[in-house]
Amino acid sequence: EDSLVHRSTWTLRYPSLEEPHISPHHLSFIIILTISHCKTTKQNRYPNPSRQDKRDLMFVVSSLRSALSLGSISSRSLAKSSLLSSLTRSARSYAQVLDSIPKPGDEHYGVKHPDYDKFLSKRGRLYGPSAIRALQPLVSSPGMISLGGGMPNPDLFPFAGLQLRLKSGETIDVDETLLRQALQYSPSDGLPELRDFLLNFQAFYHGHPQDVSPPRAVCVTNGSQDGIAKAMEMFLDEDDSLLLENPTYSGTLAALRPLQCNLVGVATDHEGLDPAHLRSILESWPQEKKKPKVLYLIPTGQNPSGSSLSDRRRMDVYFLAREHDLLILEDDPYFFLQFADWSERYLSLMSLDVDGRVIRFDSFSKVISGGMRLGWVTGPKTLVDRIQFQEQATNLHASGLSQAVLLSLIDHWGAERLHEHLDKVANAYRERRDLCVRLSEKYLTGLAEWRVPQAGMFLWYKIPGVEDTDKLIMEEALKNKVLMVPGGAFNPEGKATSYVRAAFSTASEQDMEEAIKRFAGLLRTEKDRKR
Amino acid sequence: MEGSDIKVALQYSNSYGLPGFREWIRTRQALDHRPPYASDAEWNVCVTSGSQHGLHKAFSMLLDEGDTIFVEDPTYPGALASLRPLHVNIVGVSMDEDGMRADQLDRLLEVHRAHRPKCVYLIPTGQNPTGCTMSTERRRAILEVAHRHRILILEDDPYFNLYYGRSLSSESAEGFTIARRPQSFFELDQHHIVLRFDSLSKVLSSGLRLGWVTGPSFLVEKLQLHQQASCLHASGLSQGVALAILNQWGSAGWSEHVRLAAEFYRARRDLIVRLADKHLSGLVEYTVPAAGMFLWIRLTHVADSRALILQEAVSARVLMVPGALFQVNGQSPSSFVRASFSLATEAEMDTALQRVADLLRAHQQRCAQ
Repeated sequence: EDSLVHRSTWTLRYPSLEEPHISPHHLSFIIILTISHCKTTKQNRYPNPSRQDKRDLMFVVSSLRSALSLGSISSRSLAKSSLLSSLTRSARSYAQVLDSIPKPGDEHYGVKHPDYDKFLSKRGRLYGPSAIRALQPLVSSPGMISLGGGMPNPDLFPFAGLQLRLKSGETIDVDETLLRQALQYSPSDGLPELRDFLLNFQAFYHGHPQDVSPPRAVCVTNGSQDGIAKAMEMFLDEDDSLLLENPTYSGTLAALRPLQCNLVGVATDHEGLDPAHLRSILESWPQEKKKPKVLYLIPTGQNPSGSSLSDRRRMDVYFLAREHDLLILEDDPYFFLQFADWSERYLSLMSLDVDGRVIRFDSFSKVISGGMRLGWVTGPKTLVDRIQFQEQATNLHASGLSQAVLLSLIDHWGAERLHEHLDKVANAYRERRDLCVRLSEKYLTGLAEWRVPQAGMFLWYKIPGVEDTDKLIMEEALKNKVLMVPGGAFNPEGKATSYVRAAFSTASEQDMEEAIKRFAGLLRTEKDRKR
Repeated sequence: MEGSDIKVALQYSNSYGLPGFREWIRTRQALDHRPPYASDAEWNVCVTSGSQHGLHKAFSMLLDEGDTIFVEDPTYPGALASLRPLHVNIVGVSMDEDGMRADQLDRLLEVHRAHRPKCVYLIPTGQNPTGCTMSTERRRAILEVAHRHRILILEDDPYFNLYYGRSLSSESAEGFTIARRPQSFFELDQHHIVLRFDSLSKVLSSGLRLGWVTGPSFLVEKLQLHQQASCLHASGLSQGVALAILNQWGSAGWSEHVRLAAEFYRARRDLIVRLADKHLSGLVEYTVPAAGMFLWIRLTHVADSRALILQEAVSARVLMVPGALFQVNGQSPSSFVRASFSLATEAEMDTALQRVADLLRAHQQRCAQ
């Protein structure tokens, strides 16, 4: 049993949103939790299966709790008495208990696979597999000699070996075979060993829906930004509309501009994207206009607002996506920069994805190195394969050196130490968040408003009385020698806003204090000036 | 690599490339091409994740739907793969032993005058797949045509440092020195219409994904903006590692390394030509390449090499790439195959070409029947 890794599946059956006011007496929901066992890869990177179980059950409990807040007293007491107590027993008996709760017609809650083909843009359709690569299978025929490939001869590559020195003082000698692989052209979806590791990694941290068709696949990209830019190109024609948060990451806006599609900003608040607004946009969409089919969001520690989509809202958003047949592009580079305890953290949209409609973008930029340009896309194989075709026609593959260095580090650390490192990183950012919030309270009370972020590296200040922070920053901030990013850069329409983004990732304690002091001085002057 | 070097490489960096690396590139370009610009500020370089990446960015930057681009026919399939999603007219220009024909380009530019011709894409040294290298005279002719029709030139030159000249080692008494390389389009570019794409893939490492684009500052800036919005910048680690070794070598070390590389590929070229003569006389035709790693072989009695390869390759146990895969129109038959001489050992090459000969003779017999 030591070699087994638990993977869990659950199908979330949610109260019908067709009735906007959920009648407590009609509340019914079923959560089916199936824990299935499957073998790990030879490397057995993930010990301690019960950690995953615990997290699964915590998720079920918290979703139960939020759903129950709408439920009838009788449901609640039924749930509390038999359901919650049975959580501590095996999953099977738990499922039996759940079966006893009345449920609506099953067909409404069945899995709804999107028809991926209809989501592709004109351009997206024209990326195809390389014809020369199609000859690859012939190369491995017995006795075959190939003068086919266009690879350069590695005898000319001057590198013999690679050694890494860690801050801990340890040294790692990069495996020679791995280095050889890394220095030559390699597969467009990533070095096979890294790709396999990442599939396991995703299964551990996000669960893995059983019997999903098409299966889940991973493609390594040149930073997650590369994957996002490619996905945008793959789905959006000029007459398409993209749903996205307002505000959102300026880098994505830059990647979208050349596509010239319509950007539809969805309102956000301190809990992230507002599902009610999303629903109203979709329901009131004019018939003549091409209906939006893709939603892009940054659900954890969002850049720039720092907000994180609550668990309840994640389910709402996913359910809306099912209802309106949307694909969800989940951009989640700050997922491991969450400040809560692991068992309290937000779960990804991908972990809810029973339909295969979520494409997830992960990054090692914040936790290992931004300069190495390593990110990866996870999603339904049909779609991830197409990202791979785009890689083939552009950068060919992410830097082999970066991949080899990462693999060597992970091999050296093992899953446990990697997990510890992720812990360390989150702790460090939490301390910085605490510092930044403390200093903000000390100097900016009465001058600016903000919410405390639960993840990431940004604080999003609202400056009451200032309509256009662009002007404020560009003129006054530089004079006062403090720099923050005006909110207009993150607005899908480029409109001016009252917001300003501060990052607490790199400044030292003294610098942060000085910066916030100067910012306070600037705001006070502005306030006085207005009076 | 240590200290601030490694720190800089591991953090987000400039989309144009790491400053030290860019400096090295600029120095290199000045030495190799004597850029015909009045001041250094008028031309710029941008590091990309391989030259293919730079090419893709340039295509996206320059071409709208319905624009026309002229390419050699046959050409590098990676470029065609990058161009097809852009919905542009891809017009193939025929080649002779000196590369793309200037008269054909001129004529086709006239023919397509109403279809918004924008640029011509070519691989002037050791072309993939034909192995062709354009002479300086032909390059001047193409430049003149392009300038007259007001289009840009995209010079894709990954085999620039693998130029060794036509003459076989058997033909020269003295030791090997690099024959006088033709001048690059970039060097001849009086009118500033050339964007040049270089690569470290063949001489330093292909897995590092390092290339750079050089050209008029305005165009390079646009390309860099495109990179900013997609992958941010080429891997800092790759750049840092490359720079470390390039700095250690210095200019003399680099020159020596590329000389070795050219000699290495020249020896292999000589080998495959000797073996081709030995096994395939009378069965095929080819031109001796002066650069790169490919031999472009015409199978004299075969109308469609693709059918032959795909059907016979497994049983014949020899693989080469059918010429049709390099054509602008992938459907029309081609008598050509591309053989690469970069990796195979002498024994493998010998056996491979023997098998090709057997394959062709068997095919000839079948046709005769």
